[in-house]
Amino acid sequence: MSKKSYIYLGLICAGIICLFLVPLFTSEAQIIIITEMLYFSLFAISFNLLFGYGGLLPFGHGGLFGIGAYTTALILSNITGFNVLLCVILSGVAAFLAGGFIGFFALRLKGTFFALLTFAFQMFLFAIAFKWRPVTGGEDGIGVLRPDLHLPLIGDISLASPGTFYIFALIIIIVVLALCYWLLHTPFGNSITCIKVNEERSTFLGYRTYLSQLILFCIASFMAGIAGSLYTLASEYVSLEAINVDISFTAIMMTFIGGAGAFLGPALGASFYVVVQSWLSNLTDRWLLIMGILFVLMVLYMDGGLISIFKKENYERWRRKRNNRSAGSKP
Amino acid sequence: MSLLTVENIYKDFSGLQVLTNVDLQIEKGEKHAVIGPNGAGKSTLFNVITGKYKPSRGRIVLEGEEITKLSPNKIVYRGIARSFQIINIFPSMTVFENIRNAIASRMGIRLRMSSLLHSNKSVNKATEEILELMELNDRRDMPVLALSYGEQREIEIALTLGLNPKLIMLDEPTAGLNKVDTARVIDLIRRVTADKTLIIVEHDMNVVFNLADRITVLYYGEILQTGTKQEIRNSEKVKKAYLGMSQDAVTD
Repeated sequence: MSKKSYIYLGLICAGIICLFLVPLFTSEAQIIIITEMLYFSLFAISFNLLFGYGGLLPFGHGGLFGIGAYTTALILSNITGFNVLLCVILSGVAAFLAGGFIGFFALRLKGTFFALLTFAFQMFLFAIAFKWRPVTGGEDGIGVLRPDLHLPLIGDISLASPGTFYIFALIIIIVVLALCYWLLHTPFGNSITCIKVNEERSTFLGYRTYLSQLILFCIASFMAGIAGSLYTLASEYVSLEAINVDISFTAIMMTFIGGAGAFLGPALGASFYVVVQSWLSNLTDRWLLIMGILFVLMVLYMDGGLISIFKKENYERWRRKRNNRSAGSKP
Repeated sequence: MSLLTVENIYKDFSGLQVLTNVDLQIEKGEKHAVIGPNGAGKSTLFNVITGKYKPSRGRIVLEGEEITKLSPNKIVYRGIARSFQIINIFPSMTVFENIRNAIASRMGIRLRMSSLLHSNKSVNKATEEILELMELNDRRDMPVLALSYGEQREIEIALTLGLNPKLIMLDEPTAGLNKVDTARVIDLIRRVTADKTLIIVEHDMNVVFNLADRITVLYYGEILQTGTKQEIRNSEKVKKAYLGMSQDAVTD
């Protein structure tokens, strides 16, 4: 391993340790917001797996988030004493299967048609959540109680306090993201990149676009499902908000704000989005308007997203520009 | 048995007949050139053989097995690899990564998720071998976009070689190159395909007569003649149809 990758590893470990220490220094209200940042980060990264890495732009990614959210709510409200960890994983699996079904059809299409077909599937899911009142509660949604976490050998851990739930969510998210990061560096991850960079050449090297993208779609769906599940557990409630079209566009906005070009870019975007949203919504009801303007500005003037602030080459470009200007102004 | 047999291939694009009754037999180890004026259907023939287009009629057989209706990636698995007339590589990747893409595919680990790619010893070794063979070692970690046009042409060939195919198909590998680069690329092709079967589409007569054992002349979608270099050189109808304007190139 090179020196540079040791530095990165060190930074990431330090960051993870900091994340674990967060509950010691923050109030309950703050920890709730930070938990929200976490699962939206996971959601945005799962979206970026398709968008940034796979070159696909789905408009219905929120549907899979919703499936995870509703699966958790349905399991916990109908089966008492169900293992909460298993419940999170099952929600991911439910989204995985739904993603397989949606991808099976949608990935046959390209570009706009792909985007719109995923959108249509989400509308369909939304309609089910809205109309199937006996099961989903319609507009009223489903309330759940966060159960204790049963761990073999250790015993029961109460997740009732926001602090312990934060740690629970953090561990799940770190594991899922680590797996995802690993995946991107396997031959499979490379196939995805090849197909994005040059689909025709990939085909003539033997790569299979449809199959590779379908697997990617399922994996991204799984992650979105986990994020949705944590959403339900965090708010102890699920309603149409979790499966509404807005949630898909939230993922898109988070990714664009954070930057699609880096693995953690969308996480940065998600955190920024959640913080600004909670701050703005205290100030005004029109916070979406300001978010919209922000989004437009980001797309126009900072197409690398917030993460590009941390990229060295941008500084070099900026410095070169400044040097050129000062050199030009000399007589 | 021939390695590749193309039988009565017809191809039309919504009424425009591009290939008419094309027959080809490629023996193992043969170097075969396909020549013809612009619009003769050379590239279409390539695209039909490699599965990009399906022929309207006819059969393509590789080693006794029909491949006519297979998708391009399945044809690659059967052992046909092609290059492109217009450079078609992975622009955002380095030379090493470009070739590695071909190697990973050839080793059948396209969907493997259980190990990391960059620490895969056999993939790295095979990639280094291709780099060595193509004499691209000193450009190993350069992004291919930073290479000259001629060098990008070499990457195009390297990708094809990386698949270690039974049949290599090069579509105008010297297109757009100056004389010096052309000579270099021809040498390269001759060296790296020494014990392989090759079909090459070319405009440049020097290249053709330099490289090929047998030549097929396509003219408006039909085969004018297939034969050895000598037969083509002496053929009156080929001269009349195609070589007439470049007599010097043919006779020297």
